[in-house]
Amino acid sequence: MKRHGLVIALLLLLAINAFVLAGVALNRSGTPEATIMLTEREQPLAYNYRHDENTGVSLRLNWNKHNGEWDWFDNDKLTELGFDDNFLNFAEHRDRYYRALPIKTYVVLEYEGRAWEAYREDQLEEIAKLPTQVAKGKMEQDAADRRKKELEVSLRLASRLFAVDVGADAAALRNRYPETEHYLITPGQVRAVVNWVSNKDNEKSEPKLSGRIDQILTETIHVPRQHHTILEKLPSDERLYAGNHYYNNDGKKRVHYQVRLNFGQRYEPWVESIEELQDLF
Amino acid sequence: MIQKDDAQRRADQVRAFNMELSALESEGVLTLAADEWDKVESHHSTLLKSYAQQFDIDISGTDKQLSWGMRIISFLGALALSAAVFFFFYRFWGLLGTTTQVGILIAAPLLVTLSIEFAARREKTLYFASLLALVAFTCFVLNLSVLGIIFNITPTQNAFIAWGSLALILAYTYGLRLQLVAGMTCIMSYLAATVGTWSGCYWLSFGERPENFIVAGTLLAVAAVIPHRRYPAFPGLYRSYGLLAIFISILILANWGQISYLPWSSNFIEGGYQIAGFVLAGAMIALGIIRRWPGTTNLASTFFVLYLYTKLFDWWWGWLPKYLFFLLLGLIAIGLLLVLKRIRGLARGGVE
Repeated sequence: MKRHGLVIALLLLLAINAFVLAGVALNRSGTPEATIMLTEREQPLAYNYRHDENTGVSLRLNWNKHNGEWDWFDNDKLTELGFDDNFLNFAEHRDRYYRALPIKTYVVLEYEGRAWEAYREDQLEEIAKLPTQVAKGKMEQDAADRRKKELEVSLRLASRLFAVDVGADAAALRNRYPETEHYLITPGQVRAVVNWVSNKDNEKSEPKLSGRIDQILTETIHVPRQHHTILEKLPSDERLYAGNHYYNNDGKKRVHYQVRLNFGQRYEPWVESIEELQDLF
Repeated sequence: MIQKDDAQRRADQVRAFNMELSALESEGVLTLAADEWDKVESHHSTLLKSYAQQFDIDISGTDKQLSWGMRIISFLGALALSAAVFFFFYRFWGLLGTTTQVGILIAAPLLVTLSIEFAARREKTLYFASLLALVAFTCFVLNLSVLGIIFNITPTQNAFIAWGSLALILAYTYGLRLQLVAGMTCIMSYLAATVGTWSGCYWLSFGERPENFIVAGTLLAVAAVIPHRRYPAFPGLYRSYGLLAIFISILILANWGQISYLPWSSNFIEGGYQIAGFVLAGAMIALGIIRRWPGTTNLASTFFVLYLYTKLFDWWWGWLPKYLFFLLLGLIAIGLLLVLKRIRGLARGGVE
C-alpha cells in the first residue's frame, strides 16, 4: 500500500503540473486575443518591488477609477449580469443591502478612448474655472495654484485606461469592441451596491441600485527576468504608483517605459516586451 | 492484521495491568503464584519486545512523555522548515529565468515526497516522515501558487482540491494525522467555495457566507461513518473537524444574521441559528456519550457553553453590573457541574 500511495502522490504532482502548464500553453497559443502598448502610467511597478524578502517583479494594471462611479453600470446592466434586484423589496432589511455577493464577469477596459477624452475635458474645464472662483472669492489664490498643479499632473501622468463595460460573455464583448489595440477584455469581480438617494420632492431617501467593479482578477502581472533591466534602473523618487493621480512632486515624476502586453485565449495577460522611453513629457 | 494503534493500546493495557496487580498485592487481595507470575511476565515481555521492534511504540510512562515531546518538536520543526522553503524561494526567484523557476517549483514537491518514503523506511515512529510530509505539502502549495503568479493565471478554487488530494494521499499512505487535518482544511475550503459558486457568487467570496462551511463541515462529519480499519483514529478526526466547522459557522450566524443566505430578517435568522446551535450541541453531547466518542462530547460541550455565554452576554451585559454578570456566569457553571455530576452518577447506577 505504501508503495502504491507514494506512486499515486508522485503521479498526482506530475499530472496537476502538466494540467496547469497545458492551460498556460492554451492561453498563449495562436494569435493573442489582444495586444496593447501601455506606458508606465497604466503599468507601474507593483508595490513591494525589490522588497528584501521578495525579488520577484510585477507590474500593476492601473486603470483609472476616476470617482469610482460608472453611469453605464446601472440597474439594467446588473440585471443583464444576473443580479436579482428583488432584494430591494426587503424594505425593512437595510443592513442586507450592503451584503450582496460579488460575481465574476468580464470587464472592458478602454485605452485612450472616449472615456479618457471625457476625463481630460473635465480636468481642463476645472482648470479654466479656477480664475473665476478666485475672482469671486470662493477660493484662495494659492489653493487655486495647487489645484491647477494637481490637475495638470493628472493630465500628464494619470492612467488612460477606463472601464467602459462589463459582461458575462467575453466573445460577445469582443464583438462589441473589436479594436484589440484599444480595448482589453479581462476577468473581473463586480458587485451590486445600493446608495440611498434623497428625493427632493418628498425628502424621503430612495434606494438606487448600481454596479461597482471590485477588482480586475489579473491586476498584478509578473515580469520575467529578461525584462528586468529597465525596471532595475528606475530611480525610486521618479517612479509612478498605481491609483495615484496627483503626485506632490518637484517635477521629477515622469514616464520611463512602455510595455507590450498580450492577452491570450483565456484572457490572461503576459508581458511581451518593455522598452525605455526618453523624456516623453 | 494488527496496527500500530492496536499495539499501543495493548502495551498501555499491560502497563495498567501490572500497576493494578501490584496494588492488589499490596492490599492483600490477590497474589499470583511465582510460576504464574513468571508466565505472565515472560509473555508480556516477549509481546512488548515484538511490538517495539515492529511499531516502535511507547512501552513505559517515560516513553510516552518523550513521544509527546517529539511530536511537538516534529510539528514545530515542520512549520519552521516550511516557512524556510517559502521565504527561500521568494528571496531568490526573481534572479532566475522562467524555465528554472518552473523546474524548481515542480521538482521540489516531487523530491521531498520521495524523501518521505526514505524516512518512513528508516524510522518507524514516522516523526521525520511527518515533518517531511508537511514540507512536501508546503512545496506543493508554493508550486501552484507561484505558477499562478508567473503566468498570471486567473485564480480558481481548484487549487484547494489539488492540495487536499496530495495531503490525503500522504495521510492514508503513512497514517499521518497532521496531513489528514491539512487535507480536510483544503477539501473544506474547496467544498465551501464550490457551494458558494452555486449561488452565482465569485468563489473568493465564499467566506462571506458561513452556510458554505456548514455544508462542507457536514460532508466531512458524515465521512466519519466510512470504516477505517487501518487508521481507527481517522473517523474521530473527520467527525471533530466537520463539527468544528459547523459549530463555528452557527456561532457566527447566531450573532450576525445579515450574512446568511436566508431571505429573512436578521433577528429571525439569528434566533433560528441560536436555537439550532443549542439543539445540535445537545444532540452531539448525547451522541458522544452513547457512542463513546469523547472528542465529540468535549467539542459539543465547549460550544454549548459558548452559545450559552454569548446568549447571556446579549441579555445581561448591557444592564447588569459587571461583577453581577460574572457572578451569575460562575453560578450557572456551578449549576451545570452539579447537573452533569448527577447525570454521571445515574449513568453509573447510583455509585458516587
